[in-house]
Amino acid sequence: MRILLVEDDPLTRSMVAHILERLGHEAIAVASGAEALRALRDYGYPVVVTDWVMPDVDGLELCRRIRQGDGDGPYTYVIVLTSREGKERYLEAMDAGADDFINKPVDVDRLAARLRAAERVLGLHQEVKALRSLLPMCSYCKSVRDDAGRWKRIEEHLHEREDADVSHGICPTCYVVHVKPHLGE
Amino acid sequence: MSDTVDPLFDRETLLDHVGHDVAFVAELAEILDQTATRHLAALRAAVRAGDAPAIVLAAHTLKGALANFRAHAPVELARSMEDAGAAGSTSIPDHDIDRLEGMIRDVTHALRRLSVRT
Repeated sequence: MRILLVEDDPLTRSMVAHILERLGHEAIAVASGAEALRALRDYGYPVVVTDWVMPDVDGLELCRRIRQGDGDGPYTYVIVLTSREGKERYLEAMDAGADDFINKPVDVDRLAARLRAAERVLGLHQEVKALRSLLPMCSYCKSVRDDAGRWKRIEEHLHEREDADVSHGICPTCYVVHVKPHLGE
Repeated sequence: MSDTVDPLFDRETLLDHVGHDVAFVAELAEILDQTATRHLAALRAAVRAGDAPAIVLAAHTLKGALANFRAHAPVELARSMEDAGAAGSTSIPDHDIDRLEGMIRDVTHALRRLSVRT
């Protein structure tokens, strides 16, 4: 996976980047939360591994800003990496929008397992997105089913979900098949 | 003392984590040397200025860097300084910082030795 590593300490940055590369990932390392936001905006990364304590934009603020930017685009999976310990710290990170939390010093096996979980979650997220873009339609009357299970006419659905209105007309084929036979009556 | 046992840090875990890449261990030794000097200077300056948050930041960064090597003694010393700063205390004795500096020097030397003898 392409992983954005955010760590202000050069030693830990080198060490974790080396480990990520050894695990078969492509690691791009930056030294601050502000740099990370720029990298995410310009290049996008499916996974961010970030330190917590950093000057300027810290790891939790980075999580919040990533979640604020979550929209229809691809999901960004965030793992907070910190030497801060305890349940409260864990909950604080998760409340900020982190998906996972790993204590320093990094253990290779734990990090590898967490990244496998990230890969699974991102895969499921893509599947859900693909399914959501499928529109269930009645083969006979062409009504469509919305997220609440209600069947409605396609015009109504388009108006509500896509903010698109429909103008009705008659296509050349339907003119020949349905309209023209009645013109002589 | 055995040639393979290093009391300063967890040599086996380090080598395992870096895939026994001793050239990379040498790089880490140089990075530790450079960054620790800077963070120790920041720590001393923060103590002189009575700046508790700056003590926390410098001690926290040193602790995190040293933890990469599982260097327990200096990690615990840096942790005690971070905890003191977090509690608002700025009275960290010079000899404690000197002791931390000495431990970091020992770890750096041990890393350099490891990178040439492994």
